[in-house]
Amino acid sequence: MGGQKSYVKGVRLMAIEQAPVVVNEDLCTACGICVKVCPKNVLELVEDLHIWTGSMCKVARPEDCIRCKFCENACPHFAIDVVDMGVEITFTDSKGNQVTKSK
Amino acid sequence: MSKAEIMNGNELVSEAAIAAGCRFYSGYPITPSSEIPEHLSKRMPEVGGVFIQYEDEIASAMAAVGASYAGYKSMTASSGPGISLKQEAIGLACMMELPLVVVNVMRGGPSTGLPTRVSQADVMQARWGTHGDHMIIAVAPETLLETYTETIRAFNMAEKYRTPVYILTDAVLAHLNGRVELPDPSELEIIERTQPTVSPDEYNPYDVEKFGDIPPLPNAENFPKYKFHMTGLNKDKTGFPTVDVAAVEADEERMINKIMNNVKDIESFEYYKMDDADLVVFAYGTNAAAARVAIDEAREAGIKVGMFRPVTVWPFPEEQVAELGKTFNNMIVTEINLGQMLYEVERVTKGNVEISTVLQAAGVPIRPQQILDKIKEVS
Amino acid sequence: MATDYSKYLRMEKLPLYWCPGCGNGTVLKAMITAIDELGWNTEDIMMVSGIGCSSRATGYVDFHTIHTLHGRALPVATAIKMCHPGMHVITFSGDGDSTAIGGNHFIHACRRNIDLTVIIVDNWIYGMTGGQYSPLTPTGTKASTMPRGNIDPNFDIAELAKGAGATFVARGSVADPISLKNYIKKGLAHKGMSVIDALSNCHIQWGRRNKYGDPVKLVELIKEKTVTKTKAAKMTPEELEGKYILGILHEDKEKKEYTEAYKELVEKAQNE
Repeated sequence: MGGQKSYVKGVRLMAIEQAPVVVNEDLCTACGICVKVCPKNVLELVEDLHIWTGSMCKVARPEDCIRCKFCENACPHFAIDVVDMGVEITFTDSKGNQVTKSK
Repeated sequence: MSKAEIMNGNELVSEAAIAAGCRFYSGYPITPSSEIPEHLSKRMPEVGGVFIQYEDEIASAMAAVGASYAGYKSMTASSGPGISLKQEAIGLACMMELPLVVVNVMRGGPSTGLPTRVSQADVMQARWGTHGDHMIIAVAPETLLETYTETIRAFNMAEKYRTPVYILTDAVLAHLNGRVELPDPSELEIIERTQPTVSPDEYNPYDVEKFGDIPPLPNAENFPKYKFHMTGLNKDKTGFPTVDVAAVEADEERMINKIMNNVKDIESFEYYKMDDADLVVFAYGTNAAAARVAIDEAREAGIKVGMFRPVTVWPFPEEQVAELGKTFNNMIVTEINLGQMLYEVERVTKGNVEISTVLQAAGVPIRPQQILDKIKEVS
Repeated sequence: MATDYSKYLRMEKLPLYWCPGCGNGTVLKAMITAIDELGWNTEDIMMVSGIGCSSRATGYVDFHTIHTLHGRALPVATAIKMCHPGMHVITFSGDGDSTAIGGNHFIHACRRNIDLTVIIVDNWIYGMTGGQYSPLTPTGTKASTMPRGNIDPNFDIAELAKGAGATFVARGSVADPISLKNYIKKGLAHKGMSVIDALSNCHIQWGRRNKYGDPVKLVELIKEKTVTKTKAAKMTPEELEGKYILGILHEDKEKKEYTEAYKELVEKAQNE
């Protein structure tokens, strides 16, 4: 994950990424609100001096995501998307393993 | 078949607006214009239009701008103090390039001034009242019939050029009751804003590359189908805000040129008894009626005097008045103010002609005798 | 059900130009989510804004949009609604725009009970112009034109809305975006003048002058300062001092809506 992605009309990000929560790094300003509201410590701000904000929000532990959408609702920049509860997806977790989850 | 009616200036503006297709009026009470909203409060619902009396002058001007954006031919009327309040909204219509008709029933000023008395002291305000570089169109009818026909023409020019147009009447014309033979509606030329022919996805109201200097603008029927953005910020041809130097320059010049390049279509003036004249009187609006009487009397006394009367007062009739400056030695400028168009005449004639004035700003019309005295003095 | 925000946004205009963490985006998102849940078509939506940071929102949404003058969104919105009564008309502007220069228009739009949804992005400051105080800036706090602390009392815009005649009045905040979305949704669906006071975070202009320059901390402060209607009912006036009450604060389904009244007037005039 990571790298430059653009928000394309009509296509939600996770359709491309296939992970329970995805950060659009083109739009994220690393304000930290999502990190604060996440109840499961899924997200963190990682320093990155190549970006104007100096840091970027990373999905550090996607396997812990419970799809509550607190992060998505609180994000002021349309920069984070969460898959709906019940949709089964297979993705790489923080340890590099493939996991399949539907909630 | 035309019919004769006894009407006053305010009623004539109102009826002409309806004949021109105006279906939105927003206003606020102010002497001597209040009969316009009163008349339209009755007539607009009859023709299925919208009438709202708003909480203040600014709201009513903004509403007329909003209605124009939404595709309606719209109008708002007021007098001096209210026109001062409306300036920001008029500037918004200039920048957004929206048709808008603003009636100023001029009264004594400045400030509260003389609510029930006449002046022509708002002509410069019509030109420059709103801030920023902009062009404006303004017409000044002289007679009751002309009040009707000029209102129609004002709406036509507003729609054609996507710009605010002032109708400058005054306290005399507003309440002057007289017999008028109104033109038959079938004889009237009514101009509508050009409609987009492309699909909504391909349209924006400022795409001059694609649509020319005055792009089409959806009317009330088409408005729901066409989504677009308008802003009071300087914009580029996408309609979105820009600070790009080249884009701003191009847009500002285009907005002024769309009027200045079409002066021949917008101008309107009258030469009265000018064929053999060696003295010219410059007069407009109801004051021209007084000048006319003075000129007729002077002619009886053998003085070869004529009148140049602009009907479209903005853009100023540069070409015509410059020519007068070259062909005449003497000119009398008369207006019911302390000198406003006077300065335009001076500017344009560049010292080529000796200018005398008959000016008055006391709330009463200039009497023909005053103008006659000056004609005799100068002759 | 996930909202596809891209359906409602002019995607080519993103990223939003507001400060990192600015609540404008949160309120905008709540509104878009509400619209999505209501199933409205973008062709049927008209959004009107005034001047200010929040008023730039009209540039980003894919509706009929118009970015008018400071304080003047409501007369424009009223006119457009009168011209196209079938459209959904929303105004989106800040606390200064809506309650100071726009105050008079606010009162009368409420009085008429015209079917509009008025979203006030209430961040306690004039953000765009550099942090001057507004009628809703908390007393005692600092602003660029109250450097020694605001001596002006602020006031409850919800009470003014109700007193003037609005028939749906609610307050939400960016600290609880789901409830905010729900209030906006109810306001949008309500037939009549709906006013939603959306408490928001301007950590750059209000926040930095008052030691809340961090967006997370300011959102937390907003959370601390807000209390739900039910909870507030059990609190004493002293406990409620300085607090904002959240919830649907007023709802009236009986009062006649203005475009309905005008329609009847037209019918009457045409049948004379």
